[in-house]
Amino acid sequence: MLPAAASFKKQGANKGALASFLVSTPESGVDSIAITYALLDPIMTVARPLAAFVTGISAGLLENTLNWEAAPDDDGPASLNVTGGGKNSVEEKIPFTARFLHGLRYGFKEIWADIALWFFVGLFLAGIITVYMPESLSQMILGGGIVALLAMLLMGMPIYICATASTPIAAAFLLKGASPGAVLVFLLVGPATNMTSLSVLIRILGKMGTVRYLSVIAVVSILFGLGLDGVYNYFDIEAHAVISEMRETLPYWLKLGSAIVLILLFCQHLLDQYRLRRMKRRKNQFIADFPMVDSQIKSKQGNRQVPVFVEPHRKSKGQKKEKG
Amino acid sequence: MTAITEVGLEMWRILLDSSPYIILGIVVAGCIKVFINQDFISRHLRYGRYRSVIKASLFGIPLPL
Repeated sequence: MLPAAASFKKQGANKGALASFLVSTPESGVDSIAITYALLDPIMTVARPLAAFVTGISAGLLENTLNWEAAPDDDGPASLNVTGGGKNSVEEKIPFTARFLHGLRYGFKEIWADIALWFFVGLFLAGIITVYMPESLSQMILGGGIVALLAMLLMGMPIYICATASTPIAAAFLLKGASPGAVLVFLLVGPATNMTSLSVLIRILGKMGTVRYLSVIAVVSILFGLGLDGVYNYFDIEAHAVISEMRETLPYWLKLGSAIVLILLFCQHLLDQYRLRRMKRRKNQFIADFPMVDSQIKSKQGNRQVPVFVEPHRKSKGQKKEKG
Repeated sequence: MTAITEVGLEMWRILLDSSPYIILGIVVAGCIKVFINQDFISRHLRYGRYRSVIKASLFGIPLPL
């Protein structure tokens, strides 16, 4: 998410749009929406992306209202069209099924690899909470009201947990009697803010921009928490009863099969990582034995290859511009 | 010992409930990644003081991570 935002910045996206994107992307995604439907209830499934959307817009609008720097119009679109057109024409040649299969592979390999470890940590924490957290304690602190919302805000702000992985934890909190609003605050703030991304945020948005970004997230999340508690009270629904009900929807073989698939994919990912690390170690040893020779060969090859590779590319670009 | 197995059981139960939906989410997310290219999004984030913000937030909702 952060690298994507950084590349958008390079391509001339304004700060408000970036802030908006940086809020709504981590706070919601198709994967987290699906798992919210599985583990929480339909109201939560709608509330989460809706709150993410509104929080994103608020952060972005505030940013662009306070300091607006228009994107330079002259050189930007031309260079963008060149790269965009090139990529499009390459991608259009690939047939639909091949692209679909590529998407499947990307999903199962890359996306699941990104989420999996966090998700299992989330599962573990959820297990710990359901077994060890006394219901009286969670009801006292997280049961409702502004105190519960603020407690969740304080807990969620510094930690990083991705939207998918935070969902089982949220379910465990709900089962222990936390108010839905407090849980929503955790679900929003947990993924959107954390200690490690602060430096990247400051680089993309600036110092004051980051302060505004964090305060907007805090305020809007609290407001949505209050609102959600209001909705549950108004319709007199108990989130925790709904969750227990939701659990008996799909056939067992489907659940078991998917769980096994996910675990096997994760094991394969770990194995790949391990092999990669071992290979790197071997390479390092080899280079350490012949440091001069190896690096010299590499740099010579690099020098030779660069002009051969770049020149035709440049020429073709120049021709395009002349034609245009 | 019993507490540990209890935690394990609870983890397994949640994993079973969420797995089919995670797979669904992963498949859709993978397709989004393949069928929508970054330049398309980036073009929409350039123009408009307020329009770009709303578009950015909309794009961000389905995108994973």
